[in-house]
Amino acid sequence: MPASSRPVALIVRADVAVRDIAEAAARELTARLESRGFVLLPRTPPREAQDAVLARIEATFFALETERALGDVRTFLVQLERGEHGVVSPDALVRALLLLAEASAAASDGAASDAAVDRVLVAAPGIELDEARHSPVLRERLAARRARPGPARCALRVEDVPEGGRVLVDGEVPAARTHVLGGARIVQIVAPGYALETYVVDPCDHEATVTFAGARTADSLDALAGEPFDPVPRALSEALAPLGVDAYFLDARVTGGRVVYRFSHVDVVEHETSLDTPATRVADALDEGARARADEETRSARRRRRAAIIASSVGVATAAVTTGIVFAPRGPDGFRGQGTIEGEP
Amino acid sequence: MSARVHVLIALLLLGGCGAARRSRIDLPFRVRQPLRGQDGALDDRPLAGASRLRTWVERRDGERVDGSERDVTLPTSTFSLAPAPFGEDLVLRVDVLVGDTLLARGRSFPFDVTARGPSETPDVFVSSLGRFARRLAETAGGHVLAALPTQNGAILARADGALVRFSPAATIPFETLATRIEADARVAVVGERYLAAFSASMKSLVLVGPDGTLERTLTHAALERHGTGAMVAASPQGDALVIVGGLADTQGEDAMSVTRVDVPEDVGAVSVHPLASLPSTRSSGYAVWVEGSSPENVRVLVLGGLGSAAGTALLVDPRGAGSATALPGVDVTNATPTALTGGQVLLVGGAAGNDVRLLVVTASPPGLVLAAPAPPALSVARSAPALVRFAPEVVLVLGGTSGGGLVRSAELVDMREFPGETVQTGQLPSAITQPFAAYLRDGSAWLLDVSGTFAYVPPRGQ
Repeated sequence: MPASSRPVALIVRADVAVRDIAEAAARELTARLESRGFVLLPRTPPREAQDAVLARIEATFFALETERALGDVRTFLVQLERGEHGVVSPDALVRALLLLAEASAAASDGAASDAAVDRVLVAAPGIELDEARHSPVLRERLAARRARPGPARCALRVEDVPEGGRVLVDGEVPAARTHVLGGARIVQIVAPGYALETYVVDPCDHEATVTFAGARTADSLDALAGEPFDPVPRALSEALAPLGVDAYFLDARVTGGRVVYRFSHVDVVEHETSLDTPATRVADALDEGARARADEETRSARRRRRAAIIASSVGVATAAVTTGIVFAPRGPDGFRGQGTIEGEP
Repeated sequence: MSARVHVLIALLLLGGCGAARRSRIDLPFRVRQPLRGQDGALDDRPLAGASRLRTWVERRDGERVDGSERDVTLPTSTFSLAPAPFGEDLVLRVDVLVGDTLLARGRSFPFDVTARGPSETPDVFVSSLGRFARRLAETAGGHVLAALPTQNGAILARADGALVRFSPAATIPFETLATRIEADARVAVVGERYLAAFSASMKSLVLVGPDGTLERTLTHAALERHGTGAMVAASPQGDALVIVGGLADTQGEDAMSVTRVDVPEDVGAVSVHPLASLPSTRSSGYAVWVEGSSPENVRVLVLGGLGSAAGTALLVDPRGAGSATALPGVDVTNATPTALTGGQVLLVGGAAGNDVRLLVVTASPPGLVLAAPAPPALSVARSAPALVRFAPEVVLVLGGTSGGGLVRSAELVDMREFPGETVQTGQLPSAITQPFAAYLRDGSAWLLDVSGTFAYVPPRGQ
């Protein structure tokens, strides 16, 4: 297979029974393609479950390693705010904020503790603390902060959300976007075929507008991929067209107690193996097959393929132009600063 | 049509679409804080207790970009700014507040941003107002005489003749350059264009550009008349400089020579002009370029130092209409002058202790008027302090000596409204013999000392 300067997406279409193996094999194949000079659309690395991370940090805190717990929970919140844990779990967010409040109070940083409690009251206004889990100090702090006038409710402006997209605020779909409590809120946009986007905004900042950027990733395209061995769904081909992406498919279907894998782009390599075959061996077999096919190509086949690529690039370009004309108006040219605060508060 | 033409058309079309998709780009930047001191002082933690950040984009002239303001609730470690249009000479501003009280602030060096990205990462250092905070672990490596501000830092001239590129946000913040100046050179900043270094031993003047390259080395018979202790004053516009006095080793006009060097756009056309001599000898004092209300009223004020009439002031017309002696009306021994606007010169400290005086240069007849009432006095008397001027009329007073000891306190003289205000503003981080601070384009003064690199964000004038 020749190296491509165009982005490549390896799209997985697999039965539920072998989904994990197929995805692992896809990651392996992706790494090999990348080592050969292909530009790969990114995949989201698997992350530990939010609850599991929090449980570990809570154990650290209860073991009286306050400083370490404080650092860990801050890091975890930063990861949530960057979308590194995927869609925010509302429970995990509140748990993390309460832990931050407890740990900050234990570290004699009352202002940080109050700020975390305020955020809890915004994310979960009706929260009641469990006496068995939370300290009297935190319960009193929560009661005191609750007694103060809370933030206003404001309209949340989210632009360019595609059809079928959902807006989540602190991990939940707000009852009404026009009545969202102000303060630092984690706003996420989940849309089929697009990467999850995560922003931290204050809805009451009248200048704060979230604009959906519409980035694609290999994972997001997987979600549109349809059933293994079926024709490529229209939604997927439409999503690929304006991106100028070469799509490679890894199909995996269980048939008669064995798995049939098909790895296809210009060539199709099929491989049949048992259900318990490790992902690396699946990747080995498909990759070796693909390389062998590539070596066998004749000069005339290369010419035909080149012609096909030219035709498809014109088609892609035409589609892109059409898309650009229809959807290009995304507001004026400009930039949006993305700040990261270094060091401790 | 050939296949190549098809490919070309496809690439062009794709390129056009790509540009359309890049109409809005993300601009990553860091909000950086001072390095933590061993005592963990609050001055080192500008975000401690803060409830929000106020951010915006402004043009270099201070005009705020419409719609770029954004409040960010703390605690958070990441945040997005409001969208802003592409532009040149933009500055990111960050204020740190609790409620409406401003705790700290910072701003980036100016940057350009287009659809292709920014000219550089516009990191913002935030510091508590009016305090010196250690910003970098590295130092300039020696005593600094002068700093030529650049887009993202400065070119520093060290007393040992080394030139150092200072880029606070870079991985290597201090980079010693191959170019050097003479170790005995008197250095002046010529506008924002050049460092001018006059060497009394080599009788030469060199001009170093903002990229650290040696733009021009000048030798001329007029320069040979100046010797040890010659003073250099440069115009703020950077189009001329004047060399005054200095003990010449030739017979004749001893320490009375004056030379103007014109620095036009084309550095190859730099010209040297001997001017009429001073009325009395002078060396090792201060020479300050004073802008008047019109080009005819520009004067170079020479104060202090050694000479046959050292207690007087000399007013040199850089256009060549001669020099005059003026009586400053106060004892100027060991006082430090700095030019303000409109022909005003601020004179701080000296033999008289804690005096702050405002002198006004008059051109016709040439003279000095001592403004009354005088600005409020310094809290701590000191001789020969270092001064850093923040635009337009706020001056930071650093260090100096008092009773044989080094003064560590800093004070701020705010002359925006006559007769001005004088306020204390923190302490130098250590006792420094000759403190040097550079006012850079990120709006802070950088104290560059062998003991450390510290920054000061002024509470006024920004």
